Amino acid sequence: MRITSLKIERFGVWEGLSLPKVSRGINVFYGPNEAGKTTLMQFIRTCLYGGADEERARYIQMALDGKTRRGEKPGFGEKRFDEAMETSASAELKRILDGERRKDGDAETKLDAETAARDAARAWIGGAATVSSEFGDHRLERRYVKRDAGWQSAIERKSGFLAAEGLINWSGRFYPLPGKKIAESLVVVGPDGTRVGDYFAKSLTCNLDESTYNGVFAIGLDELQRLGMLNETEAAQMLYRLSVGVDRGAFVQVFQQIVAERNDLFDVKGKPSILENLLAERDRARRKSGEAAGNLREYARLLEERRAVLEATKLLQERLDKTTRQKRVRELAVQIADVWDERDEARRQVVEMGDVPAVEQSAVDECAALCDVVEETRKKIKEIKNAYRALRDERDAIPVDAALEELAPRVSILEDDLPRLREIDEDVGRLQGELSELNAKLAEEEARVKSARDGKMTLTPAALDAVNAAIVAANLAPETRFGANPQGVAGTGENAPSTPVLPNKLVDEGLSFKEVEDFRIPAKAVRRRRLKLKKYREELEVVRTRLNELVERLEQGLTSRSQRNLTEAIEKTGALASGLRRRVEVERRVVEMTRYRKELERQNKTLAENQAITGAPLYALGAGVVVGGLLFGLSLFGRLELAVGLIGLLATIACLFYKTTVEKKNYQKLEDNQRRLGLLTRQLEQAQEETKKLDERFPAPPNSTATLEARLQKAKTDLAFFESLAPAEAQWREATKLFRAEEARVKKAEESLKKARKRWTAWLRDAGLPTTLKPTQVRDLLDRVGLTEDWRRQIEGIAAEIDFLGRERQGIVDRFDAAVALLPKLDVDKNATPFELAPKLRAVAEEYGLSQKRRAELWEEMVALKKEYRRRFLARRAQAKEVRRFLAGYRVKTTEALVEAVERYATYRRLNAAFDEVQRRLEAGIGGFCSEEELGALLLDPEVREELPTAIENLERRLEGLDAELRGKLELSGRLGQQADAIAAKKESIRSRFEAAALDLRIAEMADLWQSRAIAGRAMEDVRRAYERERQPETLREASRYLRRLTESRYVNIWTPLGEDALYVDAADGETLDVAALSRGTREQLFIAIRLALVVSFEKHGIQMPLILDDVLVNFDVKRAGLAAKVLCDFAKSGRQIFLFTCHEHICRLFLSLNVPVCALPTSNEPKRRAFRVLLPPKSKRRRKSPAETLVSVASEKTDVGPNFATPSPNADAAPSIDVDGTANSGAYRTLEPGEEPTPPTPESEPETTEKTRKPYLVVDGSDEETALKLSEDAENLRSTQGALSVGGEEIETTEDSTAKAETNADANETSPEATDFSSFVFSTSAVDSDENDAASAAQVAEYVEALKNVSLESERVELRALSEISPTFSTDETPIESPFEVAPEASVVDAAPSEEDEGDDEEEDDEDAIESLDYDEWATVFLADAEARADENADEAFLDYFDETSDDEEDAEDEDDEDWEDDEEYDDEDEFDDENDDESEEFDENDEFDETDDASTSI
Amino acid sequence: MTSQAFRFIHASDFRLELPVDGLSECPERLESAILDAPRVAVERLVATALKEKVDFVVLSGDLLSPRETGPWGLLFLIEQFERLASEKIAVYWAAGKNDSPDVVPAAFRFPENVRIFPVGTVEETFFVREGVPVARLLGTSWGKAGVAPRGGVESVEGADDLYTIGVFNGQLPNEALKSDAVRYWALGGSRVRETISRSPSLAVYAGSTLARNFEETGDFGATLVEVAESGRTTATPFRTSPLRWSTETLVVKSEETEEAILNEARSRLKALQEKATEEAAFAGRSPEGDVWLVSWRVDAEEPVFQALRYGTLAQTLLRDLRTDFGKTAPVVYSVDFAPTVPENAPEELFERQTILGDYLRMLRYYLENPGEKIDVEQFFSEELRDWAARERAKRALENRRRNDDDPEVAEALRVAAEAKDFRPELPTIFDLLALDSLDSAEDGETNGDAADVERGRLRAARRRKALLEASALGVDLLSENETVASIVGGLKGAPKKNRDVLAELRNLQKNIEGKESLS
Repeated sequence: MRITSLKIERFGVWEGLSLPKVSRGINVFYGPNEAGKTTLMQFIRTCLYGGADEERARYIQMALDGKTRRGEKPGFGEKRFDEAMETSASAELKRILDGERRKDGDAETKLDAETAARDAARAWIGGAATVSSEFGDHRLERRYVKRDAGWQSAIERKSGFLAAEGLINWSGRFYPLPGKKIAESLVVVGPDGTRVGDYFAKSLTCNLDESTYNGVFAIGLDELQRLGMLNETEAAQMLYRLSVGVDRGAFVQVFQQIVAERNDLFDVKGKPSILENLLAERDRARRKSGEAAGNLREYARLLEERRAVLEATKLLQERLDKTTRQKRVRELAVQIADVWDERDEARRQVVEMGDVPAVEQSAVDECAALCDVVEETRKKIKEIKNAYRALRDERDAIPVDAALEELAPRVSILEDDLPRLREIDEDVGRLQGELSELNAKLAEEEARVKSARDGKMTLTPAALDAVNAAIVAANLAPETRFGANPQGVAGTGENAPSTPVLPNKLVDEGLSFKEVEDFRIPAKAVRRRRLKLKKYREELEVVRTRLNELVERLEQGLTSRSQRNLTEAIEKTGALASGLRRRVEVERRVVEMTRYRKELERQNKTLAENQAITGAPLYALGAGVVVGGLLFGLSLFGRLELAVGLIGLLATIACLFYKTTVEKKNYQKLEDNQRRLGLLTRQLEQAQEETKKLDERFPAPPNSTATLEARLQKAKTDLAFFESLAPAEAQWREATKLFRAEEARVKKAEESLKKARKRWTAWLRDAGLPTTLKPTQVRDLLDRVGLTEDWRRQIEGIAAEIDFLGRERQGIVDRFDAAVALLPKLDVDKNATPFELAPKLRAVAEEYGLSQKRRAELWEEMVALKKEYRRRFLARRAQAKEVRRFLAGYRVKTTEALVEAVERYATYRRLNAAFDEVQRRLEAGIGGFCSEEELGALLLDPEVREELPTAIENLERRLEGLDAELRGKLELSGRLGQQADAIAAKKESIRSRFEAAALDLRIAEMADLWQSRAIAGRAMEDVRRAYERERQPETLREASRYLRRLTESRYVNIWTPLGEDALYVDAADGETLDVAALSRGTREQLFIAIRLALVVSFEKHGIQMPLILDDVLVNFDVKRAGLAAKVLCDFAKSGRQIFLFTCHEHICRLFLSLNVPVCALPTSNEPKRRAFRVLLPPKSKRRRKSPAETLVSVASEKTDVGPNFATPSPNADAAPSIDVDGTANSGAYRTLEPGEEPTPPTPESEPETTEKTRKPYLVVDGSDEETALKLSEDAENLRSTQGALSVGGEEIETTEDSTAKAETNADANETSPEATDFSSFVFSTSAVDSDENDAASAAQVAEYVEALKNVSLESERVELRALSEISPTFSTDETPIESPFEVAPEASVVDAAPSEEDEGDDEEEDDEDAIESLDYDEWATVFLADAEARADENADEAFLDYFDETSDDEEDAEDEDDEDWEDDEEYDDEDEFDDENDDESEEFDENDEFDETDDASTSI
Repeated sequence: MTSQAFRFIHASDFRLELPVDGLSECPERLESAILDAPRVAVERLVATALKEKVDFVVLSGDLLSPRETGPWGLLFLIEQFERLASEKIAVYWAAGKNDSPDVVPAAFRFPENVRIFPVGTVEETFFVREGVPVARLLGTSWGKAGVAPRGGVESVEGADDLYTIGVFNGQLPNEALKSDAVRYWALGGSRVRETISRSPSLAVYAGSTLARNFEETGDFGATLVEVAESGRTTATPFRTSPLRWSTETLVVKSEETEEAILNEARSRLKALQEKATEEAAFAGRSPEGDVWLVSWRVDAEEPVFQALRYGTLAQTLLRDLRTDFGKTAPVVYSVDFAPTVPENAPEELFERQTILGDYLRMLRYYLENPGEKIDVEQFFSEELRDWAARERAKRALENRRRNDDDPEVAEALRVAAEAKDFRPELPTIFDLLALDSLDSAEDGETNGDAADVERGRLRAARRRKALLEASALGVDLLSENETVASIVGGLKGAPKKNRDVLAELRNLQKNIEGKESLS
């Protein structure tokens, strides 16, 4: 992920800052303290991770409050927004009100409203960052609001307002940040401008959590300071941890924390711990509750004791009560003794009277009344008896007859039968008529059928009729079946005709109706087969015709070629054709071989001749041998130099060697040729042999003169003809087969027809029919047989019915006869019909019925009287019994005795009343205190009665003793009770038991906590080990590389022994140092090296994030800083984005010298926080004539790396709209209030204003976008007019003289960093120390160049870079800026001298302060007027586009650098290396473009 | 069958000596309600008996342990029996191990209406109404020897068809339930109400009269049994427990505010309060003294999860809820407000190539391999380590007693012999820290004993819980959102918080009460 643009709406002290184009490589921000560096840094982090962090929340809060570190900043924040909204609203209102009247005044009002709205829009806190990643470019927008009462509605209001104004449409939702009074909103906008999910922010940050990000990608000064403050051991430890892993720092803390927690819970070393404390506490609680058991025993004892006491008390009480009572009874006895006696007297009198029944006077009267009633009842009974006797006599007079009694019900039944009788007679008559008719028909039909069956006549209708007539006549012998009515009652039976019996011969002879139906089967079979036969015959005829045709055609074809059999013909002709073809071919080969043989023979000859070297060459060689030998000989004898002699010797040997070799070669060639010739001859012979054979096999026809070819042609034609006949033959075969099949089928059909016919005749014979009968005739016959069957069935039905009716009639007549037989006296005719008998019978029955009715009436009356009698009789008996009982009630039997009893009862009552009186008095005296028996015991015995007063006294004394004893016992029991109650009231056990239970729960909780901590600790330890084993070595390898570069190979390796928590560093001289022994500076280098290694290691895991470095180089001396800066630049060039913040000018210069533009933030005493400038690396001083020209150079600059900054426009009011996207027209943010003074130049960035030409660096004021636009446009103009000055290297090469080329080296060193990289490849084995080894390295370069002299064209670039390496980058501490920037890179010079380079160095020193600085305000004054005119979006975009192009070019260059660098480091990843090597050639082909890029950045 | 209808109450397991054991602290204002709860439950039982005018009360044991309650327990019981006696309600009591007649001092005399079944034999007694026996009761009590005549109760056969009730504390043999001689088994000895058989006879464990912790969420009380003239038996449970326990689950999304959570919780508690009020009204009782204890389990998303886990949010919420629902009876008291540890950390974290990722993967490995030992003995004192070795050896020995030649057994014996002396509390600590569960949740050899299986299950559950907690801990400490330092800072107080939480909450409570009194 890389950040491509930043836009701060408001954040910390920044307001309306926009960096629309952030470099993808290194970005350096320079600014004094409090310039807003940290704010910017924090803003970047905020964009990525939100404002949850304490530190960042502070910045947001600051912005929200509208405050700065230096106090209140009026007009911003929420307050400002509200005001703005009001203004806008009122302006709107005003506009509406005034709109009607004056149109001109509108502009002013509108302006007000717009200003207000823009202010409102700016009141958002937060900003946006565009990040580019594998997913494309996304914009992360973060906004913040205060979270006070009603904040949500406030946001809605605000969004609504801004949307209405058309300024901003904010769709994000705000979420409160936990623990802060701020709400945050995140909107992620995708590449296509649509909003994507917030979660995407996480993907954009590679799922990297913030603490890891801070731990790896953000290196701060504070960390370095902390490292500095630690002692050696701690620092070593910290570095070690860092090397182990990213989150290890935090991890160790966490680990320790967990250990501490666990030990708090339960300590390893057995120190007091929570768990043990809890256990102890619980045991205490348990003990306490256990005490309750002791209490129980104590309580039980007390209870027992008390109970014993209470029991004793109870006994005492009882005794006391008893004694008291005895005493009282005795006292009472004394009191009532007199009354007692009196009562005894009265009782005696009553007892004497005995048992007296109580009888009153009224009883006598009652008895008399009862006797009267009895008498009356008796009289009534007598009367009833007499009446009954009279009735009995009358009834006995009426008689009863049994026969008449039976007749009455029968008569009515017989009468009911009469209508049915009449019906039967009618039915019988009708049925007999029908029967005779049917019989006649049947006889006729049967006769007809019989004759037909016999087959004696044709079955014409007339003949049939005749036969029938004969049959009927023969069978008309009548036979009576239904005789006359035996009784002859009715005449209906007489007309019944006699029915002829039908002889059913057809049936008798065994041909059932079912069988008859079967005749259809054979008949149908015959018909079907006949039809089939006919069809088959027709088909046979068709096949025969076709067969004949085919035979004819075939015969014709064969005869024409005088062949009999077609197959044979084809085979023969085919063989002939192929043989002839082969023969022709062989002939052709023989001719060829013959030719080749001739050729070979010729060659053979030539070779044999040239076998030995002859002629001039031989002489030359001989001369060589002679001269060589001579020279050697002379040298041997000292006449010549030994060297010359040796050359002579060599020449001799060479000549001899040459001769031998050539001759040997020739001989070999000859041999080969001869071998080939032999082979060819053999082949030729074989071919001729074959020709002969073929001729024999296929001789030409004897009388034919045709050539071989003609013969071949004929054979081919014949073959084709025969083959064409082949299908016709196949058809013929098939047709023959078909014909035979058809024939067989016809024959079969004929046979089957014959069989079917036979079956039909057989059937006829079986049926007893003449065999000549046709099926139609048979069908007729059978139809008639069916008809007669039906009739016969009908006749049987009718006969059965007549029979039934006859039987029914007889039954009725019988019943009438039986009725008449009952009345012997009745005078009737014996043969009278039922119709006559019926009325007579009825009359007799009615008469008898009347007499019997009277008799029954009399009986009823008698029964009633009998009942009355019985009732009266019972009543009389009861009354008598009552009288008797009444008397018994008074224990008397007669009424006289009753009167006497009444008198005795009166006396008895008087005596009793007297006794009661005395008794009442006695009871009153006792008063219910005791029973009479008790008193009686005391009073009846006279002796006891005497002693009563003494006894009373005794008892009184005993009472007193008992009373005292009782009181003592009661007291004791009370005491015991109190003790027991005290124990029972103790309820602490409840509480302590509860506490123990609660503690149990807590202990369980703690144990669980301990477990989880223990597991966590265990797992973390395992993880740590795994980490140290697997990840650390990889990181350390990487870190070693960086350390090597940072220390210029003073230290070459970092490592850690297995299982030891310590880092060791190997120095170049082989010494191994503990990290603790390193100097502080080296430690920091180590620190940075490790951090960079971590970044690389994360990259390998697919995580790429921008690096944030906060003044990390500050503690280094200039040399180290330079190395580090270079490492960082290279690091950035390998595709990593770096944000570096510094407040030190020398570091700023350092980067400028590395051709890295620096963004200078304004100083703290500048009034506006939005302005800043871009410092650019200086250009060729020769071309630097005026500020204006410099500007142009800046604008046309194609920086390698570096930010392009757009800042708020000073002319905000002119901007047409506000766009929160930040992609265009951010110039709407204004920096200058009208009438405000331009900012004075800052001392840091402009050390010597008077010497502009000598300034060490260029300053482009980035605070003004319009200015930048202007710059770019001017640059374009200038390029077009002075193309020669600013374009490609070739042109420059032509204009440069060769003396200037020496300076190229230095220049190239600065402008093409890849050169530097390359150098380390070339000289990787030697330590390049530009300070001391300039000369040495120069020599090496020269040597290298020499070696490369003949290398192809592409490598010239390489040479150039090699040369450039010689130049020291940082020669002294005081000269961070050096390059004269004068010479084009293409000026490659082979014989570059080191001395010249030194001169270059000197010049650089002269240019120490030659940095151009252009303050924003100056540019503001120059371009203000122009900018106003041109402030439009197009210009803005043109500016951006221009830089886009630039950066594309840069990237190409960077890529190349990467490869070199990685090559340099002997990068492990071979594949990658190879891939990019392939690309390399291509890129070199594009040299022109590449040069242009380089050149443009260095020359004007 | 029975000629007369009658009704009685069957209760058991008052366990007057057992306190409420589901609270790790006692809120001051509820102190009396919680401490008195066991007694209040019994008082409510008696009140119900009086109100329903039952014929008699059957108690099947474990009413109290006199030794542990001290005299007040028995006195309280006697007092309650006397209340029943005043209405001529008979009490039939078959004692269990805890309340055996042997352990009740003779000095305590129960009222005449109480009939305690004898120890060692099964006694037959009749409930007689107006001179006519209405029901037969068979029962026996546990003695000091602890051997109850298991076979005794069920062997008695009903000679006639009088309704027979068996009263017994403990587990009945299965044959007993198969016979229809006894129509109703009044059983005791289980804290949870349970009907173990319905036919041919009804057998019911009445369960405890009081719910004492969050596991006991059901209706704890007694059973009202009504027998109709036809002999049809209806057993209706009713609640006597003044305490009720429930666990409520809240799901909280990340954007929810404190108020939203509070409102949701309030509405839940309101519902509970209304329910309790309704029930009290239905039982014809004032809700005074009823307490509903609620434990909140919160499935919270970040950042609420963090706020609950480490911040003060939980305490704030608890304070508000307790204030809102503590004033009027029935009181609904929120005991704790704990965020649920998620079952799984987000998958994304597992895949990370960071220490956290490695850490989570390692824990997952342990989770997925319950047989894998997690060696944490290094975190022990030497003493405990020695002891643990010995304990392990002992257990190994027990497991392998069958095979004496086993070299492991020999080694175990050797280790056992060499182990040093240990402090007496070590076994407790060993069990508490559940080392065996970390050793391995899968026990290699079990004798198939149900208790063993249950123990194994508990061990596995505990191991799992600890692993999940550790995993959540790792995510909290090692992941983003909070800087590590601030979390560590927050955690530093954690153990202390646990230690002093009771005191802190008391202070908090006082403050709240102070405010209330002011207002």
